[in-house]
Amino acid sequence: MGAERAPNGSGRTRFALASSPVAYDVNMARGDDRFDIVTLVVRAREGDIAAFEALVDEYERKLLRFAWRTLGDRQDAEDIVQDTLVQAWRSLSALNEPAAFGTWIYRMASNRCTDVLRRRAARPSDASDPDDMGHHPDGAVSVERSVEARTALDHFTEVLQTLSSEQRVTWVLHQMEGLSYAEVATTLGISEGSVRGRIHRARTAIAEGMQGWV
Amino acid sequence: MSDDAAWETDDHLRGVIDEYMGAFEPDPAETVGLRERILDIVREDLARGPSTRLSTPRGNPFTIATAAVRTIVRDAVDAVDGIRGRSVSLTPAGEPEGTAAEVEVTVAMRAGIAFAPTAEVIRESVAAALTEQLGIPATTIDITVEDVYEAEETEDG
Repeated sequence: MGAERAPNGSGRTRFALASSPVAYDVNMARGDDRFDIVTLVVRAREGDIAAFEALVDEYERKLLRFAWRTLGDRQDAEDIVQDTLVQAWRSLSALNEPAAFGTWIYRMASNRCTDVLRRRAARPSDASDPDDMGHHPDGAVSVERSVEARTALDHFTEVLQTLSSEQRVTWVLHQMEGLSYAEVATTLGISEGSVRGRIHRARTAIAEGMQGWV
Repeated sequence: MSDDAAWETDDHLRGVIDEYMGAFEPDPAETVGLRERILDIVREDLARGPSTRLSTPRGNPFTIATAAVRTIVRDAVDAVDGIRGRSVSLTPAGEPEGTAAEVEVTVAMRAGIAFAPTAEVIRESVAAALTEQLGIPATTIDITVEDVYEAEETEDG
């Protein structure tokens, strides 16, 4: 039957095994994935929409959770996730190492979160003075709550807003999303020492800010 | 490390952080709209994507979305047991140009698959799909195995 289909007998075959990808990026937790991350990225890069959908399913909620916890605002977080994943789709061909897809999109989302936090900090109404924090317009704390009814959670949410943009993104990635110092460093493109420094300063600020509450 | 240890021992603060994390945990049902917005944009992009110029055996040219050509080839590759299609490239060939095609594919292969006979199955599958769906023969089909994956429980039954 091979002889009947003359053209298909020709062509080269070869093995070219890639080096092992970083463990953090190939963590496909869900059981229903038919394909590994590299296969999905390579296929999506060539316009396979089903492969890109699988990537969205894998990362959308993780990114949303990260952005929401970092920004404290659901709408801002959704905007960042949409922007990040659409940008990822459009610039997939720029991703040289498909196995690094996870790190790559976390970096894009982190940068966008930092930008949003910086823009907030630049607005005159967004004072970072602890006495003023109850009136933060973008906080998750509902404004109708009276000062008396405030919980430790409300107070913590406000203390988080006193951290610098960089400290906050770094601290959320490590403390809440469970990335190691090394993984945070790779994600943000900074040294592990810088990660340690930021997290240490963030923790000190949180501990001080929470005095009397916990 | 000592920094981590000191931090973790504060149970009350740990409790507040856990509460915060729980409060900012998106409900899967609430992300459906976001997912659709993203995929709508992607589908629009795809509709404006590149196209490939091919030709009927009589020399009448036609164009088809490159993504669609790749899907035909990719599906034919995926149909082979133990093979996952990755990259697909199809170059118009023949005389006049576009009456045939040169195909290059990269694949991931399940561990334990005998590659040489499987490569022939892939070639037959791809050549048959191109003939049936586009009416053009493949002059060459190059196959590169770039990864090997372990069989999953569900796959072997």
